[in-house]
Amino acid sequence: MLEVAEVAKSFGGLRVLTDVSFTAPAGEVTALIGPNGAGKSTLVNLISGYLQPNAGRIQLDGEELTSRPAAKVFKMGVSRTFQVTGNTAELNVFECVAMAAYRQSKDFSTVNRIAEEQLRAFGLWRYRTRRLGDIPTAMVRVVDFARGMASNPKLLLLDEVMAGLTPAEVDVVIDQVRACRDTGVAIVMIEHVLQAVTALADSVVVLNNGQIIATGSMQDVSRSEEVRAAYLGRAATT
Amino acid sequence: MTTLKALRNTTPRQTINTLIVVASMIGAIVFPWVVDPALVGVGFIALIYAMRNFTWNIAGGLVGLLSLAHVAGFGIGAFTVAILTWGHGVNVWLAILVGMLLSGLVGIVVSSIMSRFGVNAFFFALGTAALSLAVSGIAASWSLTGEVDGLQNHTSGEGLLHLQWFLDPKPLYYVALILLVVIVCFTMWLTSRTRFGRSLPFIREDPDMAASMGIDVVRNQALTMGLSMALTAIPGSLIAQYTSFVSYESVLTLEIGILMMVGAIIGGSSTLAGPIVAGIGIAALEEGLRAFDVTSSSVSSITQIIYAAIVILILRLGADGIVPMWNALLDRLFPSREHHEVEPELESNDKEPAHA
Repeated sequence: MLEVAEVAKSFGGLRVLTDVSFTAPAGEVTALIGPNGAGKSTLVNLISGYLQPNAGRIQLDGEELTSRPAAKVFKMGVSRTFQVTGNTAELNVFECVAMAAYRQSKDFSTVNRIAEEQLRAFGLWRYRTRRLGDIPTAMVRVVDFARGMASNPKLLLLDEVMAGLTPAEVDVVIDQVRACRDTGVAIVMIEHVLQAVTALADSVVVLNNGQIIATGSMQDVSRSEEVRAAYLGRAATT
Repeated sequence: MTTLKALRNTTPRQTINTLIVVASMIGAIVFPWVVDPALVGVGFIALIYAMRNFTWNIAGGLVGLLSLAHVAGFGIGAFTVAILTWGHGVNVWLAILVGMLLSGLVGIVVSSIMSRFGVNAFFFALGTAALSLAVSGIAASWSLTGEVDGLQNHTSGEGLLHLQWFLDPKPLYYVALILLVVIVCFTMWLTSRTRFGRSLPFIREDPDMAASMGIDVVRNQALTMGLSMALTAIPGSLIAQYTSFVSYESVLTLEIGILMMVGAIIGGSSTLAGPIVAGIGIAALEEGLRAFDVTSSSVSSITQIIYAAIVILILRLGADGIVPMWNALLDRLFPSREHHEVEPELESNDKEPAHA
């Protein structure tokens, strides 16, 4: 279970997150939604140790994640995907997944076997010899997801893995997220693809201007006035 | 193991490159017996160039550390042999090991300091260049290193134990060849079989992402720099044994450091074979120009002009270097059935030609 308590982050004078608190239980999918610039990616960066918060605490199963470097956070069981995978074109698909599998084992052949299992499960086996730069951009995100799974994480942070996928591909990934959730992993996902959020989210956290404006089930949240206002503008609700 | 076999589906390019590697190995072995004895020395120099390009590339190409500190490692290797073996009678092989250790230590310290200050690639190059200049300055003014006059080898031991043969250059040539093969095999093993080695491309491409995959970026960079510089000390020691003379001008000029870097880059720093191909190519070029009725004093400058022309030409044709260009050519000539143009990176790199 991930616990984020009263986390704040600002860059210089710009306050990106203020007083953000939520929990993401193991075996559930928590969707993080909100308009662009709401601070979702910053939040993921804070949890994964990429950035350090100015205030507040982040804990995983009671263990402190706050102020730990990214490599340590990964070892403690937090795996993440990346929204922007710009400069990784040279990396090999198989190696990407295998590298993450080293969290589970130090043995060369075990690591390769785990990587093979994950690549097959995600329908990526045919891309295994390719470079990330040579496969469709949408597939790079799926590789990222497979990479996250290969580390056998306690918490998986999915940063817009569905973006750009065809509806059929979204279904494949939805099945994977479900399978992953059922193994007891806590999943936090930033997602704009509503098909995925509706199908997967056990609870939804809505961020706007760096603050949480609603939490609850998708149904509850979509009834909230404030959420509508944030997404559609004030005019739409009056 | 099934995974490995599945990865190893041979393409025409791999077949051709494997054949070239085998042919070059045979060529390298018979070379001293079929050429004029004077050319064996050229072969030795070619191997030294290949070795120092290759060892530079472990830090420079695999992790992307644009280091000019390697010439310090090269010089440390040469001077350690000169001081310990020529000066104090220590066994030469032991002296080589000490040189590697010292050089590796310098690499680890340099990389750790640079990481602490979070410098970018340009400052890394400048900072390491400054270090090499400092080491060169020390060598030129310290009595232990012979000041500006350098050190001369007056030992009389001959044979493999002393790594010295007075009349026949062949044994030293084979020692260099064997060491090069060992270094290449070790690097191939490291980059394809160990977690440390497999983590290096991730550090090169995106250190932040590497960190979030549990890779200790700072430590691995330092270790790679240490390993790379330790191995660069080997060609330094060998050249010292070959010329029996070492001075700051012969082994510690920044020019040598730049040649290593440029050699690795024009050969193709993303491949294992590129630096070797370039090293041997450059040695052959230098020798070829010497044959072209150029007075010996101007060989160096003419070589540099041609060198510059080739670098510009290669950058114009494709910035990746000779070996990647060769691979692209093979892929165009023999498109394979399902995955053309894309092979597992390490697989293809391992099997590159080692010829000029």
